Amino acid sequence: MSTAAQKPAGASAVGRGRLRGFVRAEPLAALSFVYLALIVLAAIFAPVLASHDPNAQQLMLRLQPWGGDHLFGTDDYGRDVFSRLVYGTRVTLQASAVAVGVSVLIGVPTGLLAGYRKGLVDAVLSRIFDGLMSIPGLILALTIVAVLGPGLTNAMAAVGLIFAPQFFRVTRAATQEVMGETYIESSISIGCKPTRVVLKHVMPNVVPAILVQISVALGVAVSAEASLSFLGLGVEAPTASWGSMLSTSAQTMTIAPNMVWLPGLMIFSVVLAFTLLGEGMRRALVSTGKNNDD
Amino acid sequence: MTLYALRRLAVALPILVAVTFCVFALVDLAPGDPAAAIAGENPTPERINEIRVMLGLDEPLLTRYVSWFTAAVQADLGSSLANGQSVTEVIGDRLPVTISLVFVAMLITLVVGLAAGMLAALRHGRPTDRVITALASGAIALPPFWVALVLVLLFSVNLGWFPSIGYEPLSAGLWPWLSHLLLPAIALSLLPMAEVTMQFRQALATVLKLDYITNAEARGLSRPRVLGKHAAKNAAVPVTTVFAYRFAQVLGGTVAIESVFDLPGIGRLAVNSVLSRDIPVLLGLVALTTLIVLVINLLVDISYGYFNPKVRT
Repeated sequence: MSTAAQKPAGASAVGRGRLRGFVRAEPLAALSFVYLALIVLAAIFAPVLASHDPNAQQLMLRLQPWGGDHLFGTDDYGRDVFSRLVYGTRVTLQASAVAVGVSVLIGVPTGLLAGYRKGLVDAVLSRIFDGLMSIPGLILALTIVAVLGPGLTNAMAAVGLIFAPQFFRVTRAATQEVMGETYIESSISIGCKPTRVVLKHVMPNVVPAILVQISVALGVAVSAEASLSFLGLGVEAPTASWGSMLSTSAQTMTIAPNMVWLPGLMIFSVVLAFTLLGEGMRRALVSTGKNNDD
Repeated sequence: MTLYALRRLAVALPILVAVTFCVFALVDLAPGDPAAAIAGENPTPERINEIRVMLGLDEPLLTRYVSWFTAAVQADLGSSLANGQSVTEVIGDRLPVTISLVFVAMLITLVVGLAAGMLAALRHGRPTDRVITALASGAIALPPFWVALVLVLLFSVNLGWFPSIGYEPLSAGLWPWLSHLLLPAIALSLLPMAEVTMQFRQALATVLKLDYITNAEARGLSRPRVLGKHAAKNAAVPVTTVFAYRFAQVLGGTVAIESVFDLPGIGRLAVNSVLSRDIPVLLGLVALTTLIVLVINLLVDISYGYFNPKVRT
């Protein structure tokens, strides 16, 4: 959740005038940002927003249609679908933050190192991440889940490992680009320590590219969480997740088709918003746009 | 050219060894002793030890990996913990299903993706182009397993046009085979299709602005001939790359899609072997899928060298 909440910092850091310019130049991205902010608020205030206890079963009121006391009807255990959707935002955002956090922690420092040191270090690190990229992502996630046991945190840490090469590549490319600048050369020649050069001079230039990647990766992570929970490898039984709600809907779709539509539309809209926001930020913040190959 | 291909191969082989070794070591860390699991209830410590020696579990990690790898090269991946069947057989039984599914999905991807990309490039900047671009960017955000559920709801449950679950082999006839694969293949193809569309649109629009196209048109060549013979050929190069690199994604996508449609392929096998912690099967699947992806990447690299002699150095 924290990663999603930090995003405005990147946009507002460029100043109020620039922010207005961003909204005018990238209305879709701005709209996506507002939507995602609302989703974050819904996750924080889920207990206030939800009309029912998301796990309370009413076996007499199974698979109720829309309207009435239950806004979006009830599921196969008579649980309120609207409340489960609201609580599902928590699972989605937390899980995605775990995945993207893991990949930032792995990919960004190694990317900085590879871009800064070049040579052998760069070659070795690049090979390792190439290898990681050649395993189909979901299969790798499944293997890690098999080893660590099921559970959403394990599964999402595995997903984070899969995204790490992308962060490595983006950071490495952006670092290499900055390293060619004269001011880096001069700060090294006046005797700045490598850590100071990287943190003070390289980092600020790499951050925009990483922010873009974070937004795009959050979108993919939301989708990945949904897939894993759908397969029963994510959240544990009673917890509401959009993916696990869809897995129930597969069995009840003849009676309750709205159970197929609603969680799916939530996943789709959130993924789309993260993607649009990422693309908008890329156009606005990253000058060349070549930093990112995905 | 041969030298270039050999050099790419020399890079790919260590990756295969490294990936399988890492996964092997990772699985080794997993809690739970397979020997104790096989020994059954209330085994004596001697009995467990006996099985450990029999399975070679008392050997160091590296020795076990080397013997697993040498056996794997000879298509012997050990036997499944679930039913003792040979892993090669278990995977071999299910592979045709997944190959069929991926084949149909890739075919749909190519046909629709190229057609949409070409249409968008020809109408560059006009409403048709904008609609196609918007649809493609939207499609990238669609979770494939949800598309699968929606397709089942619309075309199987509501309209009854296609069976919602199961698989028929090709030997049962073309339509029974295809009718079971069409919906899952569409769900699987949306993402790569969107990417192929965008890539081909971009590449073709760039090529169409070049002088030699104007020249070809000025010479009075027909529009289809200019497009097919001159423009599309050059624009196809970047598309080949995207198409091939998305292969790993599609292969991974079969996991969720096969579960929705209850297709007995390797994606479903992967989920089942995770749930039952059938490690030999899982290891076999990792090795196989990594090998497939590496071979495809190798082919892309070689085709790169073929199209563009500059990268051969």
